[in-house]
Amino acid sequence: MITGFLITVFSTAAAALVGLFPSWTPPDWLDTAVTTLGQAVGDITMLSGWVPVRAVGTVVAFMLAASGVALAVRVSRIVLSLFTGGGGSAA
Amino acid sequence: MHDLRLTAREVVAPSRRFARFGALFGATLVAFLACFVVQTQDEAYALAKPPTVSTLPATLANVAEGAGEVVAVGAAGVGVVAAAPVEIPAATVALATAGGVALVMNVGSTLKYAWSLRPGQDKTYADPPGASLPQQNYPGGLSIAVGSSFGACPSSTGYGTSYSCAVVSMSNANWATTGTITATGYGTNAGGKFGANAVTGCGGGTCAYSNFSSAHPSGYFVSTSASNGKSVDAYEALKNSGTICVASNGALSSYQGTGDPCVASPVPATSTTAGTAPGGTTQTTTPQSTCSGSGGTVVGSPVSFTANDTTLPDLVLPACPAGTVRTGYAFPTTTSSGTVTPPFQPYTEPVVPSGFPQCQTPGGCQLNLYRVGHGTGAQTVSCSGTGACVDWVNQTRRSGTAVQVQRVSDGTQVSETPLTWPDGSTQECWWGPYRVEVMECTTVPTEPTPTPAAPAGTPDPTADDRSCFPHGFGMLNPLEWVYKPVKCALVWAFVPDPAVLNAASARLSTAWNGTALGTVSTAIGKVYAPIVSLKDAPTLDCDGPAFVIPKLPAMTAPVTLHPLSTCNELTQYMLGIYLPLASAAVYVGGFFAGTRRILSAFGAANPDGDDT
Repeated sequence: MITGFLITVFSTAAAALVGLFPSWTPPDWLDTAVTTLGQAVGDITMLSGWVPVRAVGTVVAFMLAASGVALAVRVSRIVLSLFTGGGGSAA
Repeated sequence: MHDLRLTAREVVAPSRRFARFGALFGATLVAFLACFVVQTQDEAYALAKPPTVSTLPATLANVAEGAGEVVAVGAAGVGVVAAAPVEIPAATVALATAGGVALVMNVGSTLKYAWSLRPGQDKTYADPPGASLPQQNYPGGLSIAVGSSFGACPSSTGYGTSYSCAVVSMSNANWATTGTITATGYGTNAGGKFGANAVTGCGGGTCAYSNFSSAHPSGYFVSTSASNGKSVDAYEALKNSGTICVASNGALSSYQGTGDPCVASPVPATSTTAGTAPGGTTQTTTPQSTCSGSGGTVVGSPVSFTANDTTLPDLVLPACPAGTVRTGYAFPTTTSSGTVTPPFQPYTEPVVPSGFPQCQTPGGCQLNLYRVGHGTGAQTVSCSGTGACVDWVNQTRRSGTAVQVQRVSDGTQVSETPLTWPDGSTQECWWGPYRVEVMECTTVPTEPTPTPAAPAGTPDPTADDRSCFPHGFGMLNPLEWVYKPVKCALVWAFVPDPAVLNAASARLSTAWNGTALGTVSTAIGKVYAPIVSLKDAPTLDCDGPAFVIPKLPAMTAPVTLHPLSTCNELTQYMLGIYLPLASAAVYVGGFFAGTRRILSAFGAANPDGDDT
C-alpha cells in the first residue's frame, strides 16, 4: 500500500514533468528514409559472399550504441556540471 | 581523471596500428574485387563467344525449336560419330540466331556437316547453309518435316537411306482438338521412330482410323498435306483411346518438346471418321445415387449416346432428398447386347452436402449465430457485433423441447436441445436458410462447463502463504502468531499491487511518448532496427544475386549474370581465408573504435588527436 502510493505519486509527478517537454511530430521523409535504409541493408546483404556482412552489421550496431552511450554520458556531465556538487566541463 | 586519461591512451593506442591494418584490409579487398571483375569478364566472354560443342552427346539432347538453339546430335550406331569436338560454323550460328534450329552431326568418321531448319519452312531451307555437300550424305533428318511425300524416312529418295525419323520438337500437341501441330525432327537409322506406317497411307485429308491399325500402338500423327512436302508441318492428331504420346513407338526419350509427351484421351474413344472406329453402337446410361438414411436409391434421367458422338453428354447424378447425403453412385448401361449394372461405387460429398440445396454455391451461405426472442418484441438479434451474446457460453443452458437441426459437415439431422438464456431467448446457429447445430457456429464449448469445485477437505496449496494467522498445527507454534501477522502487514504495506505498477508504467510511457524526446527515441529505434538486422543476414547460395540483361536484337535470349558468384573453387578457397580475417579485423577495429568513443565522453584523451 505504501509502496504503491509512493509509486503512484512519483510516477504522476514524473509524467507531469516529462509532459513539460514540447511535442514533436516526425516528418514524413523519416519513414521514407527508414524504408530506403531497409532496402539498402537488403542490398548490402547480397554482398555477404564477399563482405563479412554479419560482422559489419554487428560492429555498426555496436558503434551506434556506443555513440548513444557517449552522448548520454556527455549530456549527464553537462547537467551535473550545473550543480555545485558536480563540476567540470563536458567538453 | 588523470589516471583515466592514461588508461584510455593505453587502450586506444592500438587504433593507429589497426588503421594500418585497415589499409591492408582495403588493399586485399581491392585485389579481390579485381578477381571478381576478371571473373565477370570471363563469364561475359563465355556468353559472347561462338558456341562450341566440345563433346557430342550419346543421345539427342538440347534440341529445341526456337531461336538460337544450337544443338549437337550424336546417336551411336547411326553414322553419327561422337568422337571429335564439333564447332558449329559461323553461318549456322547466324542462321540459328535468325530463328532456326541448327543440327550438327558428324557423319562417318571425318565428315562434318551442319544444317539448320527454320520452323515452318520446307527442305529448301533445311539445306546446309552455303554447303556443296552431296545430298546423299545428309542424314535425312528433316524428312518428317516435309509432309507425307518425305514421310517415309527409310525410303526417302535423295535424302539418305535407311534413316527413320524421330521427333525433336513438337508444339501445340493437343488431343482435345484437331488443330495443327508443328513438328521438327531428325532421322536416324535406329529404326522404329515415327516410322513409315505412321506417315504413309494418308496422302491428304483426314485419315481413317483403320489406316493406323498396324502403326505404332501408342500414338499417331497424320499428315494432312496433299502435296509433296511443301507444307512442312501440318499434322493432325487423331483422337484415340487410352494414352497418346507425341513421340511414338514408346521411344519417349526421343521427345524433346516441352511438357508431358503423353496425354490421356477420354473414354470411350472417338474417331475423326464416323463409323469406322470401334464403339459406334448406341448405349443408354441411367445415373443412380444411393442416399443416406431413408433416402434410398434415386434414379436419374437416362442419357443415350454413341461412341462416335463428337461430344459426350454429361452424366448428372441425381440429388438425394433433403436431409440426406449421397453415399454411392452407379451408371447402369443398356446396349443392344443387354444391360450392364456395375456395382455402386462409394461417393464422398466434395464440398457441400446435398442436404443444403440453397447453399451449393461455394460461399453462398454464411454461418451466423443468433439470439432469438431477445429483448423488446422478442427480436432476433445477430450475435455478430451487437453485443447481445456476450459471454453466452456461460449464460445459456440447455432447456426446452428438443428440435431437429442439421449438421453442416455431413448434412445429417440431429436432435438439439436449445441453448436458452435466463430471459427465455434461445441461441441458434443458421447456415443460410438452414438451422444447424450451434456447434457449427463456434469453436468454443457449447456446453457451459462449471469450474469444478474442489472436493471437500482438499487443502488449498496456496492458503498457507496467504493466511495471516496460523492454522492447523501451526496454531501450536507461538512464533507463527507473530510471524504470520507481521508478514501480512509488511506485504500489505510494501509489496505494490501489480495493477499499480502497470498503471505507473503506462502513465510514464504515455507521457514520454508524447514528447519530442520520446518521438526522437522512437525514430532512432526505427533507424537502428534495419542496421541491427544486418547481423542476422541470411546466408545466400554461392550464385549470389542475379542480374538479368533483357533480350536485345542481337541476342537470342535474355542473359542472366551472377557477377557476385562465389561458386568458383578458387574463389571459395580464397574467401575461406579472407572472410574470417576480414571479420576479425572488423570486430577488433569496431571494438576499439566504440571503446574510444565511450572513453572520450568521459574525457579521455584521443591519441589520434580526434576527440570524437
